[in-house]
Amino acid sequence: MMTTQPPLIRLQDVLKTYAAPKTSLFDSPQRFIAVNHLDFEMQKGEVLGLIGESGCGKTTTARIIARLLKPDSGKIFLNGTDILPLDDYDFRPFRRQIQMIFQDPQQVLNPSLTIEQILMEPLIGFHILRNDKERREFIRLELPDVGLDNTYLPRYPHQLSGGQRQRVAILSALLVKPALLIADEVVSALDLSIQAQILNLLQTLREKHQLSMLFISHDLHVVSWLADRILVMYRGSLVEEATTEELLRNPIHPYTQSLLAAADLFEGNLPTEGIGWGVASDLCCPYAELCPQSTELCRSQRPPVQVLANGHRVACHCRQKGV
Amino acid sequence: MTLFLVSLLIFFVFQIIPGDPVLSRLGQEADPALEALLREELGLDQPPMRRYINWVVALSRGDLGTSIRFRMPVQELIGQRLPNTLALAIWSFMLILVISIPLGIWLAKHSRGPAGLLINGMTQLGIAIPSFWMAILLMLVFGVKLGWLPIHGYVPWRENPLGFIRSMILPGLAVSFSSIAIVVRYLRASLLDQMLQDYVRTARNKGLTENVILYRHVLRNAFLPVLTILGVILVNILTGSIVIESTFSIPGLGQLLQTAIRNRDLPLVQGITLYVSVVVTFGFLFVDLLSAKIDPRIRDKEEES
Amino acid sequence: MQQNKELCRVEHISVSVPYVGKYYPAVHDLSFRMNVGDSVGLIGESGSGKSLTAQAIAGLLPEQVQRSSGHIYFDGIDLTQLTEEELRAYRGFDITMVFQDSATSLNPLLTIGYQMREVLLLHCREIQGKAAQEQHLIASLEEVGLDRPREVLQKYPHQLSGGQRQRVMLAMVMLPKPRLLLADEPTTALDLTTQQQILTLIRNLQQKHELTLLMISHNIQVVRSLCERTMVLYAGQIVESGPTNEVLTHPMHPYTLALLDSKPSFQRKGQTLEMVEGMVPPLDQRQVPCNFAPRCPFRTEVCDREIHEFHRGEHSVLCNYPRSGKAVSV
Repeated sequence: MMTTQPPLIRLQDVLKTYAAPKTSLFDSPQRFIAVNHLDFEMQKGEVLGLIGESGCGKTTTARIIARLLKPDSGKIFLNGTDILPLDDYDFRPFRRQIQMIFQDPQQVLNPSLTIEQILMEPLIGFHILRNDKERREFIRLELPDVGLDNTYLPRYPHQLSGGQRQRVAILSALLVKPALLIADEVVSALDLSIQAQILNLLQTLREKHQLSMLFISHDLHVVSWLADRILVMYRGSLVEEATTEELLRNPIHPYTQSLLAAADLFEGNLPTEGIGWGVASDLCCPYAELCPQSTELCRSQRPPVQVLANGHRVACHCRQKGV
Repeated sequence: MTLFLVSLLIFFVFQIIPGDPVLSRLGQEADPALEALLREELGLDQPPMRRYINWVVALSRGDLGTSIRFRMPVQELIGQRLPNTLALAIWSFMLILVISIPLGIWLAKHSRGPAGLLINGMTQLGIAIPSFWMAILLMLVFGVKLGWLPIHGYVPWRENPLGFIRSMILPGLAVSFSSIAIVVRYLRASLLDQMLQDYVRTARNKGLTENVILYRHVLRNAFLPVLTILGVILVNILTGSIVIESTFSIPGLGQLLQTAIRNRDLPLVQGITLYVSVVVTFGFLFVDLLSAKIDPRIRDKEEES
Repeated sequence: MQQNKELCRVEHISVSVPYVGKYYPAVHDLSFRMNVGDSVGLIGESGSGKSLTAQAIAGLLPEQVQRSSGHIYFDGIDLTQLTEEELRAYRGFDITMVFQDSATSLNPLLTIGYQMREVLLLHCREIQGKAAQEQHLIASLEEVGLDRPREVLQKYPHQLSGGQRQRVMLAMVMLPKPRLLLADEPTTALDLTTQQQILTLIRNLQQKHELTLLMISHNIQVVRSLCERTMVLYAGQIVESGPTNEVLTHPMHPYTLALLDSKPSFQRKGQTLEMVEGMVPPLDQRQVPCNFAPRCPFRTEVCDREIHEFHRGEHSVLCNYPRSGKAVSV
């Protein structure tokens, strides 16, 4: 994708580490690398799917972009501006640009506020429109967009179903017209029929508003249905990135291949032994332990990210040797 | 740190509240020369900041100063009274544990029955009734009407152990009553909450009997939140005993503190508060240690940091 | 179905739960049977009553829930007629259950070893002596694929990962060699690859121990991969049941059809997902005979009066207007 204007968002060498939690059997004194020198960019109007298992760093990445977490190092550019060095005051105009929605809206929506009050808050917070009267009208105008109507406004979050709460959360994020919507596992907690409704809604909204969305999920079916491009993460590292079509037709990284196989549950052959715990490192391929094709090189050196045709990016030694 | 803040606070409250220790000793019509002499002797002629620093310096040597009212070292005064207050506090604390834990369990089991509702209502009353009123009620019923127990005076343990116990029953009850009610309610709510947890379903699925589930699985978990309020209960007991000691004329710290405040006897008040603060701080520390002992998750978190 | 010996038969079970002050049936007149060695899948969305069904069989219904009618036969004995004490002899011994959330399903304050030993002491009295018991526990942890079993016994639940905890749960409930395993969404909270490992494990355990399995899930693929027979539950009613292949490739009930069509996939990229609007009706708005009628595109006034069951071989459907059963590609 060649564009003259800067990408909507660009991550450059972003690193985030934590003190290793002692939850695993093999306690290690090292620091746990949650996001390992991650690079990627997103264009305006694009839906990028971020896929990986829990603990792979996808949520951490989202939170870093939304400035809910501070990375150890790296740069994040929003429309060409490096937003990380900005202090909270200077960041204010940018905060509105990035909105995030989460898996469980029950925990995000304040239980003691009505839906109307919840929806008013972002408008008041960002000084959108002149007065509350205009804001109320605006909310009533926008409600049908997410398939709700005025009758929901005086209700409280607990009086709504999970799907309706997610609709409220989506609307509250979209009211401020963000440049980027980050959706973190937003349909994971929903039943299939409700999930379909919310996915349909996101698709409609996306077309209507030319929404740019970072869509995070562990469900390959969902991601491939919605996303233009998919980025696969494993233990904090980018392992592969390509357009959805390319990734599904021609997965290169062995981990991506196993994910595709697992998505069909028993139909593929997957290494039966567990995705191990352990500490991501700069000294080896994160997938070396489990990879059926791993070599000495994989265990001693972290593979660089290579760019192939059509923007297909992959981090695998085997590919380099032309295997 | 807490102790330092407490002492500072007490000191400055004493600068603000009306009343003068010198005048309260000499009377309003005192001879000004005598008054000045006494002021100098007590160090009250110096500016407040200076006096506070003096006090802290002395404290670091282990010297709490001299009481203005009694003209005795504060340590000695506290030393005389402390055992009595401690005895009352420990006794009340034991009463709380012994009465409220079984009651809380029973109540959780029978929360829907009429007896459960009745006791539940009583605990509500127990929280609402102030301890001094409870003390008077207890004295009336058991002391005056029934004549079973002494309502007055204090029998030292060394003189007459049986008399000591008899003399402690009513004050102990009066002090602990509201705390018992609080712990019972808390424990009951916590137990009922824990009974709904998933691990209880797992335990049932194993085929364990309800009693085994309750005592082996639920009780420990239910006790964790109760443990955190035990620190507050400790404070409750100490403040309660200050009032109750004077009602039952027990020569303890509470009584001493009242006298000290009435006479604006700053060194004595400072000394007593310091002691009480130390006890409370250690109480909270103990509660924290106990929680970590019971809950492996807290233990792991502490090790990490 | 190698053996056709019946193990468990559920007859006209109804379970009522309190909802805004009144009792409503969340499971309505449910009947099915399982033979020895069967693996049966129960598919349903939240509110369909699938967990209640399993809990009713295991005798683990929460206190405030009532089983209002029906019979559950296990090995020819009507469990509903037994006292609590008699029932306890079955629970955890013959009939056992694993749950969705392994994080909350284990007691956080007790070690894995303690919680497993409890089962051993209760149901496996023939194993005497500390060393022998320890050995037995270690063997069972090895069977479910846990490394360093001796260390695992010393651990507390929060020190294990979700997948490890679910393995521990399986090892624990399998100790007395139960005959019926009710698995209530055992992999839902897990990652895709971990999920697959646990499912493989369940299948292996089932085959090795001649276990009868009732797999409860909202995930069609889980049931498809593990179960010979499938039942689809909607708002407390079994709307369709039969061999898994039949039900999931040639669905006859409009709900099953919609459920299969609503699954997003790359093949349907960006296309609107077919899904009936609305949601599972709340308990006080259910209208027997057909609970699906309000959302059903094929509803007529007949549906408000009566409902018929149609059979095609072993495949049966509760609908007046069953679909042709045309093939669905998923």
